[in-house]
Order: sequence, then structure tokens, then C-alpha cells
Amino acid sequence: MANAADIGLILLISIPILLMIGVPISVSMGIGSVLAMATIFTFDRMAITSAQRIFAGINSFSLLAIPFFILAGNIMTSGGIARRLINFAKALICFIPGSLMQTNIVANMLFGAISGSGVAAAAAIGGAMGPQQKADGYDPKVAAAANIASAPAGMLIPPSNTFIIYSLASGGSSVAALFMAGYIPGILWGIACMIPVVFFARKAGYKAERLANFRTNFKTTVEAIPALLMIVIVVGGIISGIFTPTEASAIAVVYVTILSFAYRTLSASMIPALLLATVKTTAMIIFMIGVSSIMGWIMAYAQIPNIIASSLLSITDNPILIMIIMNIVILLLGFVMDPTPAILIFAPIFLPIATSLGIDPIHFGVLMVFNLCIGTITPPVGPIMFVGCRIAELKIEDVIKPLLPFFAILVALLMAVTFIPELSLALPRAAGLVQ
Amino acid sequence: MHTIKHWVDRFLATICITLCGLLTVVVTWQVVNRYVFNGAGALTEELAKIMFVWLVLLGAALLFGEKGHMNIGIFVDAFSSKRLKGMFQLSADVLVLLFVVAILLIGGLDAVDRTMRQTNAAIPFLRTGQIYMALPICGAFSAYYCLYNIWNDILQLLRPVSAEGEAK
Repeated sequence: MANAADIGLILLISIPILLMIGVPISVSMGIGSVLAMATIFTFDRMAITSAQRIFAGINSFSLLAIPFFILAGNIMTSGGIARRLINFAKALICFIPGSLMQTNIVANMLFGAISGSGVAAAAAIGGAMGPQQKADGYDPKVAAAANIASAPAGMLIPPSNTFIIYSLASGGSSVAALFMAGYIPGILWGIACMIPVVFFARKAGYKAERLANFRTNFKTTVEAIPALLMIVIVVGGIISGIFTPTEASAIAVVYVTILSFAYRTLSASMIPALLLATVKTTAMIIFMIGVSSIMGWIMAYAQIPNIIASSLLSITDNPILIMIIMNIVILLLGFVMDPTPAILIFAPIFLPIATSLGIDPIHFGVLMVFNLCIGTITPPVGPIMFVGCRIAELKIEDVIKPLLPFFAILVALLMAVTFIPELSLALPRAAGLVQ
Repeated sequence: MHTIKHWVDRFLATICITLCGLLTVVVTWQVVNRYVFNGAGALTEELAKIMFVWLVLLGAALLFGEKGHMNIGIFVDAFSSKRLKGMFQLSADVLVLLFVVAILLIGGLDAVDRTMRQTNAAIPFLRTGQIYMALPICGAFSAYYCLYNIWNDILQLLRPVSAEGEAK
């Protein structure tokens, strides 16, 4: 391939420049790829090929799950369900020191297990917990840090839009297997966040609450059952093959809609605004996916992933070293990029390297998402951190210091997830979804 | 100028909201149809995909009008001069215009033209070209919004320096 180097160079130079000027990420990828394509095609052929790639990139039934999970998350943010999950989480773990922050963490995990969005969890749960925590004399900065740090667990715990995007970018890994693989790392993420909170609570003298009596706990649990049942319907339905992830996501929308009407937190007049918000988020993410498929096409044409893989492997063939290098690169990417574009651009490049080292694509997906989840709570581009700060009415500088112990423990957990594949693969193997 | 944009916004938003609501109905119907009536899902799946493509492309056009597409602002924000920021803004909007016109509008029209004779496998009375119409339509609306944005950028840049203090 004579012009592989040209194509690679054009992509590598043009896209960062376009991003710096402030061109939207989707269009930056598009223009860079089109310029690269101009080295092999005439204008006519380039325009029609690119247009068809965009169409083909969007025209996918599995991507359709993304707007539905976003819509379900938007509907849930309106109230009822979040409150019942918080009460249930409180009944579960109020005996641990710093109980209101611990409740926030567990509720974030539960919310994420239903909605698939870390940002929605940070907004809905953090927004509801913040005033309670303040009233009980918790330091708002530490409380916001705990909310921010634990919210990404929802992106690992299924259902998860991030995994659907990875499934696509990796050339069709099983969404069901990825969902199963996310459970243990996601739950460990939540538990890891509870440890620094115990120390914060000890130091500041926040107390644990006494367990409520059996009758109250029983009532709280019964109230949370309809919300928790959704986990069974959605994830259970996908794993057992009753419906595809997309169908499950539509059922999730219908289910939360009925539930929110029953809880009287949703009214018909709110629906158009919820749909419009969903359309905007969806169009942004999916348009980016569509345009990135032009880039996927041109990179595959020039065999760029193979070239990068072989040059990295020629530097060192020590798998542990390569894994650490890839982790650092993805982690740094996560600092400056959102998970969606990072996965779209870099999964096709890094996955061949990982598979050549004998790493399962499912395990690599968990690893990549885990890395990028850490990126969502770090500046300069950290959507969950931004939402968490806005909800708590704090500046980003305020939460950085209390966030540091969370980072340390999450990076340690990242190492565990990297080098213990069983953490990711045990569940999908047990379900017979992975060899 | 602003009134037209307002109406275009409302038009696109209404279509998108309707499509998004209908999509939920179609996919839910697919599940019900399969388990209750033992029906095949090929038609609903194809229909859902078509609606989804239209939803995304029209939604993307709407977002160009709001400057709602995700970008990385930290480099531009690092410059303190308002004029320099305005120049970056203008060049970004011109680049977006070039992309939507060349690829979505021209490339899209070309793609429509070439596939007008193919019929859709699952929905025989639809032609592939008709489904592809979403591309040039998205291109046309996006181009309109880009011109609107560029117009505003230029007005912003032409505004005399002394007025900068009042504007903020």
C-alpha cells in the first residue's frame, strides 16, 4: 500500500488541527477522512462513498438501543424511581460510616443498572442526595466527590450504551457478553468508592445510622421492587435471548413510562420535552458514529490498525508492558475525550494489538470502557464531573482534592481488571456467551 | 432571518419528536407481535431502521443550528482575545458548511440518484433512493443553519471594538 503513510499522516495532522479550531468532533473526523480519501478517489467518488458510509454507519438496528436507553434515563430523572432506589440503598448499607454518602454510591450503582448512563445517575441521585447530606452536616465537597466518583459505575453495570458503541466499533462483539462482563468490574467500582468514604467519615466523625426496624425496611424494599424488576426484565431478557438489546431498551422505555405515571412524577405534557432532549443527545452521538465510519473505512483501506499494531509489537513483545502502555494511552485519551469518540476512533486501532496478545475482545472492551470511565470524572473533559459539580453548585477546583483518593483506588482497580481477565470473563463464560 | 430559523427549528423538532415517539411504538410492537401473534419482525425492523436514520440526520441538522454538536473548546478558550475567538468560530463554521455541502448534500444527492431504481427488500414499495433522501435533506438544512451561523459570526466580528464592553 504505497499511500498508507500519506493517509495516516493526513488523518494525524488534520483532525487535531480541526479539533483545536473548535470544529465539532464529528465534522473534524469527517473532513480529515475525506481529505485522506482525496488521495485515492476523484471528488465525485469521494463524496458519494462518504455519504453512503455515513448512512451505513447509522443504519443499524443495534444502535437503536442507544436512544431508548437515553430516553429511559431521561424519564427516570424526573423523580419517583430515583427516590425509591435511594431509600432502598439506604436500608441496605446505612450501618457503614458516612451512611448518606454510602447510600449515594449504592444508589448510583442501582440507577446505572437501570438507566445505563453515568451522567443521568450523577444528576438524579446526586441532586436528590445533596440537600439531605448538607442538612446532616456533611462536607458538600466530599459528598460531591463521592457522587461523581461512583456515578461511572453505571456505565460498566449493564445496560450500558458505552458497551453498545464498543460492540459496534470492535466489529460486532456480542452485546450480551459485554453486558455480563461489565457486572463484576462495575460492582467493584462502586465498592472501591465506598472505601475512601469510610476514611473521610472516620476523620470528620460522620456516624453510621442505626438499622431501621424490620417493618420499615420491608416497606422500603417492597416499594423499590417495581424499579428493581426492570433490571431483571432488561438484562434477564437479553441474556436469555427473549429479546435483542434494542427490543429490551424499548421495553425499558415503556416500563419506566408506566411506572413514572403510576408514581405521578410524569405527566403527558412533559413527554415532548423529554423526547426532544433524547433526540438531541442521540443525534449528537449517532451522527458522530455515522461520520466515524468514513474514517473506519479509510483506515481499514490503508491498513493503519495493522501498521500501528506491528510497529508497537516491534518495540516490545512483552504483553504486560504493552498492556500497561495501552492502558496509559487510553487513560490519557479519556482525560481529553468523551468515551464515545474515543471508542470509535481507538477501538479499531487497539483491538488488533490486544487480540494479537491473546486478549479476549470482551475483556478488552471492559478494559477500554473502565479506562474511559475514569476519564469522565477528570478534567479537562469530564462530563460526569461537570454534572456532579453543577448539581452541587461547586467549582471543579473544589472537588479535585477530595477526588484524589478515589482516583488512586480506581487506578489500582484498573490494574486488577487489566491483569485478572476472570473479573470480566467469568460471568459471560458461566452464561455460555464466551469461549 | 431569526423568524425563519425559529420556524425551521420548530418544524425539525416536531418531526424528530414524532419520529422518536413512533420508534418506541414500532419496536415495542415488534416484541408484542412476535410473542403474541407469532409474526415476523423483518418489516418492523426495517421500518425502525429507516425512521432511526431520518431521526438522527434531521436531529443532527437541528443541532448544527444550535451549535449543539460536541466539540473540544479548551484550546480556543485559552485565547483571551474576543476577536481571535470570533475568527476561530467563523473558520470552524465555514469548514462545517463545506463538509455538509460536499458530502451530505452533493454526495447524498448522488447516492439518491444512483439507488432510485433499487427497491427495499423488506418494504417493496419503497426505493432505496427514497430512504437515502435523508442525506441531502439533512445536508440542505445543515447548510442553511451554517449560513445562518456564519452570518452571525461576521456580524459579531464587524461590531466595532468599542462596543465589546457593552456586549458582554
